[in-house]
Order: sequence, then structure tokens, then C-alpha cells
Amino acid sequence: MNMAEKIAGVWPEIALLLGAALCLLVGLARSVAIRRFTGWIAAASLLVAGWIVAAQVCNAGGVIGLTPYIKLAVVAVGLILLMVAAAVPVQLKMTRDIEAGREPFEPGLVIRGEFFAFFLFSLTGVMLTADASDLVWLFLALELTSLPTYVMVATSRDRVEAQESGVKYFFLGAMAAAVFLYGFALIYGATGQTSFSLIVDAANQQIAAQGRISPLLTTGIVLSLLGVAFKIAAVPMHFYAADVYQGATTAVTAFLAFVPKTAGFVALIALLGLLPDGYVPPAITWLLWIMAALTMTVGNVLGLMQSNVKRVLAYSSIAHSGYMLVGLLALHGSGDALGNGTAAILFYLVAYGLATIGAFAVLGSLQARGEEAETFDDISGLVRTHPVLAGVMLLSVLSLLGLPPMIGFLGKIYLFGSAIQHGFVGLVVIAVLNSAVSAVYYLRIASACFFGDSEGHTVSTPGISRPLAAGIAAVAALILGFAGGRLVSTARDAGGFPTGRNDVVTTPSQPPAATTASR
Amino acid sequence: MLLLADQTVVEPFGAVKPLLFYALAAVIVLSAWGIVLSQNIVRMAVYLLLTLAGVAGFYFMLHAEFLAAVQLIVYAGGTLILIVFGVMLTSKNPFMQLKTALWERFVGVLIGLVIFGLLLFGLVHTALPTGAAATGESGGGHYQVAAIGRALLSDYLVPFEVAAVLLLVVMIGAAFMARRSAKQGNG
Repeated sequence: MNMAEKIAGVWPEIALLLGAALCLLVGLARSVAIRRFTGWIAAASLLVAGWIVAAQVCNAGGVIGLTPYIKLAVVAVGLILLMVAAAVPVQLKMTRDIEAGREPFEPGLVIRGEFFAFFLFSLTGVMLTADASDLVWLFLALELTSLPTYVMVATSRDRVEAQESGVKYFFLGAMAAAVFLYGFALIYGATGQTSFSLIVDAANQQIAAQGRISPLLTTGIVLSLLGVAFKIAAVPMHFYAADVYQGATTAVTAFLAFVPKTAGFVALIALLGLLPDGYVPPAITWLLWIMAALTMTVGNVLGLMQSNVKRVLAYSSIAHSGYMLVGLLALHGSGDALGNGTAAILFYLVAYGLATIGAFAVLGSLQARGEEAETFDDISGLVRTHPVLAGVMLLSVLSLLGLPPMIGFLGKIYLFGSAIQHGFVGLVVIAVLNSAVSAVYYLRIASACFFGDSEGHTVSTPGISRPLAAGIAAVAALILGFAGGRLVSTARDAGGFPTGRNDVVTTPSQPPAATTASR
Repeated sequence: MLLLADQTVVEPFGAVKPLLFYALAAVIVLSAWGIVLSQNIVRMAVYLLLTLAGVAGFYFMLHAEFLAAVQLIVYAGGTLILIVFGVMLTSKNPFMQLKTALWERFVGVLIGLVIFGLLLFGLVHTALPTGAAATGESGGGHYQVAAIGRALLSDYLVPFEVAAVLLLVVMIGAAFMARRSAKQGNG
């Protein structure tokens, strides 16, 4: 693929970048009424980006590959996230008072063009990650995803916790970036190439010459996997998650739970795609196996011990990374519905994203003692004061738990099914046991909402957009759970594309046969 | 130094080469130890300078003159001065001691050993290319710079532009956070 084709592929990203630039400019306006448009600009640029991706898919004959799939998912979930984020500055008077210095400065309550610009920059990074066909490109795209999130966390609240978690997130993120950059350097050193397809060629030559890929290449891939594990909060790199999720405002936390994780898994799929077909060195298999087992166990066990719903959801997000790592082991799929780990991960990312964003949006719709709700006490007895929000919370946690009518159930079936087909039965047993353990804290959230005593200090946040976002996410998780066949077959088609070899001509996938599994 | 390197393309360092390599390696490793073991941040910065300059020396030996110049200008020049300025401007006492607890050292040593073992394993078991293939001496000299420039604006155009966006994000982010705390001071 030459550079002209690559530039043609990044038009959605260009749309988002233009939107970000416009947000920055409009955000400079003195009038609050003008600055209110920044949220709409962000939404419009997301819609334009989505429209461009759809047009590209139509031009390509309606086949959705890995890259368009991720981009469409980013647009769809990004719009929901935007609704969660845009809800904050509804009080114009308060904004004016803050700017005049009559009220203490609270970053979450003033309209900031920069916030929406960073929001778009980060989503651009995810899209570019999906486009990456080169190590240099992949590194820059991953960093473009992460850097704006550091600022978003640190500036989301005018509290010491937010700044502390921002600093923590930044330093650990910088260290992780150093680790995977080191890995990239070793991959380059072992093959002499930065382009994914040329690296695969070099690896194939090494196999032809020695019957294995060079240990230096293996070491490089191992280091890269460990570094990228930070983005998905997998076990050796999970320490930041709970503190950062708790320290940031709910809108930013929901963003962190989906966006860097998606970029991380796309990068992991691309990195494992550097290995020649059907050849995974035992060291990498073991690394992923241990990482998956530890990640789900640590996430779920620590999730049991929390008293803060945000922290519970942080550990739940760690645990879900562990489940998706199981799918990573079954990456080189056979193409049928239950055998393709890539497809399972792509599907699960959407399933997990909808459910977790729904839960965070419910928390963001509530206020207790002038702050966003975050403890079990705050949501206790929610069904009596806010029955709809309580219902949404129930749907979200049931989907996270993976109960049958919800989309999370389908997601887990595909993930674990693909792993069983590849012979990782032991790991699947651990995963199923972990799902059972996770029921304890998910149902604790649900029972707090439905059976707890309301203490009456929880009120709803002004504005309709957050409850609406929560509702959309939960209803989507429910409907897709019943009628997920189309999404499943799309994900399977997308996963059927050989990963890491976006340049190479790929064969279109098999006709869909998975619709029956959507029951 | 650039001129010197250009002339030696014809006769690459000759017999002095291994000697030079080990001398540079010793400088790099010893000053890297210095960074880790020192407790004074200004001293760390000076040791870091030695490490970075030593790596630049390696690049010269490999006839990657452009890379060596960038290493000296950006890292040894820019980044290091930034660190020293950062320390001088933010800390009340620039000669403050950085103390680490025993368990922190233990964890640090453990992680270091794991990564060291991983790298050693990879290096020992891999047949590394030797001779001209390893150093890429064929296309040495100042033609490299032209080739790098051409690659940046053709094959790597999109990554190049993404790097520009990345720097923009960093700049705005830093300004955003700084402005925020200024407002906080007034309020």
C-alpha cells in the first residue's frame, strides 16, 4: 500500500482532528453561549467521521474489516461518551460566577473547548491505532490515545485526588511507553524492518532457516506486550486503575474504561499478528496465559473488597481485560463462528464498553453531598428515588456479569468458545470460576440499588444527557443481546482479516452463519 | 565531530575500533550506574549527560551521523537542560536528596534483573548479523540525511504528521494545566 492509499484511509481521523482544532478555536471565545457549541462540534465531527467510514465500507463492497469495525465502534461509543461528558456544564450562571472569581474554580463546571479537543484527539489515536501498518505509526498512535487522557484526568476535578491520580497515571504511562518502545526497538533490531508485512516476511525467513523465530524477536514482542498491557490494565501493569478511576470525574472514568483499552487490544492484536501464521513461541503463549489468569483473578478478588462503586468498576474493568486476554490466545482463528479469538475480542470490546459506560453514566447522573455519587451508600435504595436509573444500572451489571439476555453473555460465549477450540480448557475453567466470583460484587451493586435503604441525600445531576446516555447504552446492550447476530457476524468478518497485514490483499470472509447463535 | 566521522567512512576507525567501543561502553554503563545509585538529582543529570553522549559516540562509530547529531542536540542538549531547569525552577532546594526505601530498591532490582535476563536470553540465542550488514556502512555519509528526509515525507508521512499532532497535544495540555492552576490561585 503506498502513502496515497494510506492517506485516503485516514480521512475519518482528519475529520476528527479538524473538529478538535475547531473546538480549540471556539473554546477561546469570551462568551459562554458561544463556547457551548464545542460539545456540538465534537458530536458533528464524530458523525462526519462515522459517515466517511461508512462510505469507505460501501466503496469496498460492504465488507467491514478490522479497521472500519474499530472505527465504527469508536464513533458509536464515542457519541455515548460525549453525551456523558457534555452534560456537566449545564449551569450557565455558575460558569459565569466561576469565571468572574465569585465561585471557587471547579474545572468540571466550566465549559472548556480543550476538554472536547482532547476527547477527539484521543479518539483519533484509537482510530490511527486501528490503521497502523508500521511500528513507528503504532507507537505514535498509541501515545496520541494516551497523552490527552493524562491531561483529562488531572484537570477533571479541582481536587488533590484528581491531580494525584493524573500524575500517577502519567508517570506509569510514560514507563509503560518506554517498555513497549524498547520492545519495538528489539523487533526492529531482530528483523531490520518497521513495516508489519515486512516483519512477517522476515519472521517467515527465520522460520525457514532455523525452524523458529529468533529469540530477539520473541523478546521484543514480549516486552511490547508487557508495555501495551498498561493500556488495558492487565496484571503486571494494573496498579494505577483503581486510583485513577476513582480520582477522575465519572465522565473521564467512563472514557478511560473504554478508549485506551480498545487501543490497547487493537495494538495487541497487531503485535501478535507479527508472528507468522500458526506459529506462536511457547514463551508468548505462557506469558499470555499467566497474564490472563492473574488479571481476571486479581481484578475479581480485589473487586470483592471495595466499598466504592467506582473502584469496584475499576477492578471489574481489570477483570474484563483478563477475559479478553483469553481470546488473544486463540487469535489465529479458523474462521468459523466459535473459533476466532480476534472476532470474539472485537465483539466483546463493544459489549463490555456499552455495559460499563452505562454503569458509569448512572453514577454520573447522581449527586450526593454536592459530588458525583460513588459509594454504595449513595446508590442505596435508588429504585425508590430514581427507578429508571436503577433499572439501567441493573441491566449494565447483568451484562457485565454475562447473564443470558444481555450482550455480555454472548461476548463471553464467543471468547471462551474460541479459547476451548484452541485447547485452553484450563484457562477457560479459571475464567468461568472468575465470572462466578464477579457475581458477588455485581449483584452487590444491584441489591444496593433495589433492596438498600434510601438515605435521601442522593439527587439527580441537572441535565438530561447523562441519564439518556445511560439508557441508550443499557438498551443497546439488551437489544444487541437478543439480536446480536448481525454484530457477531460483522465482528467475525472483521476478525477474519489477517491481523497486522493490512497492506496485503485479504480474502473476503465466509457467508455469515452465526445468526442462529444470537438466542 | 561530524566532519571527522565523514572522513572515516573510507577507513572506519581501523584497529582502534574495538578499543573505542569498549571505552564508550564503559562510559555508558558506569554513568548509567551513577544515575541509579546517586541520590542527588543534579548529579543524576550530569551522569545522564555522559550516558547520552556515549550513545551518540556509538552512533558515530556506526556511521549514523545524523542520528548522532540528533542525539546530541535533542537529548544531551535539549532534554537534559530541560530537566535541570525543571529542578531549579520547581524545587526549593535543587540539591535535595532522593531517598528510596529498602523495599523499593528490592522491587527495582528485581524488575531490573527480570528485564536483564530477558534481554540476555534474547541476545545470547540470536545469531546477530556481522560486518557491513550490521552497521549499514554501504550508504554512509551525508546521503543518509537526504534519505531520512525523503522517507519522512513519503513512506512515513502519516506518522510524521501524527508526531506533529502529538506535540500539539502536549503543548496545549501543558498550557491548559498551567493556566488552570493560575486561575486557582486567583480564585
